[in-house]
Amino acid sequence: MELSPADSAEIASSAYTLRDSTDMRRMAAAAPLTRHAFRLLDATRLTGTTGLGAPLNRTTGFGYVAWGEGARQGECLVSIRGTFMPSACDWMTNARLGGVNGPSGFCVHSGFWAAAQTILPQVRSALRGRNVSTIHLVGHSLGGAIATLLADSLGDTGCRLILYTFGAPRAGVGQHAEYLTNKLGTNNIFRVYHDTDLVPMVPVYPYCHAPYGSRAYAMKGPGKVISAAAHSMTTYAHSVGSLGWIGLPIREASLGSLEAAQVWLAAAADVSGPSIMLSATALRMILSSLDWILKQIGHGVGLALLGGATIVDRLAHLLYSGALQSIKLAGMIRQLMSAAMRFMGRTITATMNITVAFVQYVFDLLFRVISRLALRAAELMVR
Amino acid sequence: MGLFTSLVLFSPVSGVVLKDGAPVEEAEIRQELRLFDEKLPVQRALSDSSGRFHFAIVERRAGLSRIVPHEPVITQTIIITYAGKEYEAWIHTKNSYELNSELDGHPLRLQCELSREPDFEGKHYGICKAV
Repeated sequence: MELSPADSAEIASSAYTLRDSTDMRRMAAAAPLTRHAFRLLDATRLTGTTGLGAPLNRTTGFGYVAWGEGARQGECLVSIRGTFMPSACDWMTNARLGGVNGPSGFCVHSGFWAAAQTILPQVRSALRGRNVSTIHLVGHSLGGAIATLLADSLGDTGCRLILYTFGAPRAGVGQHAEYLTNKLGTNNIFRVYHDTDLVPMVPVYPYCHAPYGSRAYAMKGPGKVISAAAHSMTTYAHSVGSLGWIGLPIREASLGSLEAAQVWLAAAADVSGPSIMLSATALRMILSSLDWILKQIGHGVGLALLGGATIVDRLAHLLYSGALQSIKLAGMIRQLMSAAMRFMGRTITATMNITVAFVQYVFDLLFRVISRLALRAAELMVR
Repeated sequence: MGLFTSLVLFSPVSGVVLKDGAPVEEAEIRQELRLFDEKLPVQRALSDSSGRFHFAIVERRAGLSRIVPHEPVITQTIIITYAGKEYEAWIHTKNSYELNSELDGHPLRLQCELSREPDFEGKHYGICKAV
């Protein structure tokens, strides 16, 4: 049976207590609901190495593996904390959408996979020789992305894998999310996010969330604009409260229709309309519209594999070629540019032309703003 | 919330040290605190004739930390030393800068019975119980 929202929230939170401490009592104290179902005092602490490379690397606690008892006998719990690390700033930022082949051969984010690979051998070692029926993988923020890739990696164990993430960024491209969703089963993935949390919105297309094409638990975050507080695990724990999964608001996946995207973009691009500066809804719609337009143009994984600064150039060329493909797409791309500028508190003239240089300019600005907002959310999360 | 509000690292503590139900005088109580990996100065107190002790609030000017939210990891420990023996009184990790977040908004009034085995209560561990 799956963990409840309150259980998984306190489990995600408790992983932070082991960052600098090896005292399992301290971790168990932070998880009063869980310590009756899992032997937290006998848990194995997981460590991870982060940093800019030797000699600047630093190894700290990243979470734990614990074993169920009583009704949860035979079940395993893996909890991973979020992090901030200088070398991983890129994971949410402008140009670094760099992907690599992940555990199942699909393109995943290189930074997340690098972090997951430092933890995976420890999890495997803890599992060795055990008779395990179910593995619960829980994580907040980057910890959610790592837990996602661990779930992918542990498919060979033959156990039931259940994934719970809070405010996690997208770990892999669409094909990866689709593969993982099929492998784990939609009912074994519990993704919770706040509507004003930026982190789950990034990296942008072609990265996608698992469960792919399915539901997620969309909680009302504090305020209406993008908020760093909306990313905090404490805020997530408060949002889910003591409700069961069935009581949480569900957002059914919208694969996006041309009509919906057109209506929204037209409204957002209207310079005489209400301000959308830093609006969480606006950013979500801008990124969704970008996803939708790129899907129409028909490019995906290639974009992720590019990585580096070339991504903005490639994106600009793609959108430019899309604008040449059809008048309808050209109109939407123009509105997308206008909406993106309005989100940043700027306006553009109605007569502007879509050129590669202009699209580059807008996306460079937009990704810089996203980068700044994302860093505000994640920076110092764990120094 | 702003630059000039403070971050509460340890809410004020009032407590009483007992042994087999009787007040313990001159027990030494040590309050240790770490914000991430930064160790803060240790605070010390002695219990009075009725076993009572208290620690003032430990706080820090918010500065940019308030407007650059993050996941606080504040490691709190209270150790009681009496008659040459150490007792783990309070082990807790505070994950919020709010006052009294240790006990979900309730003031930290603790009863620390030296003859009690340390155990979990809510989100803390030790011989002290919230009263």
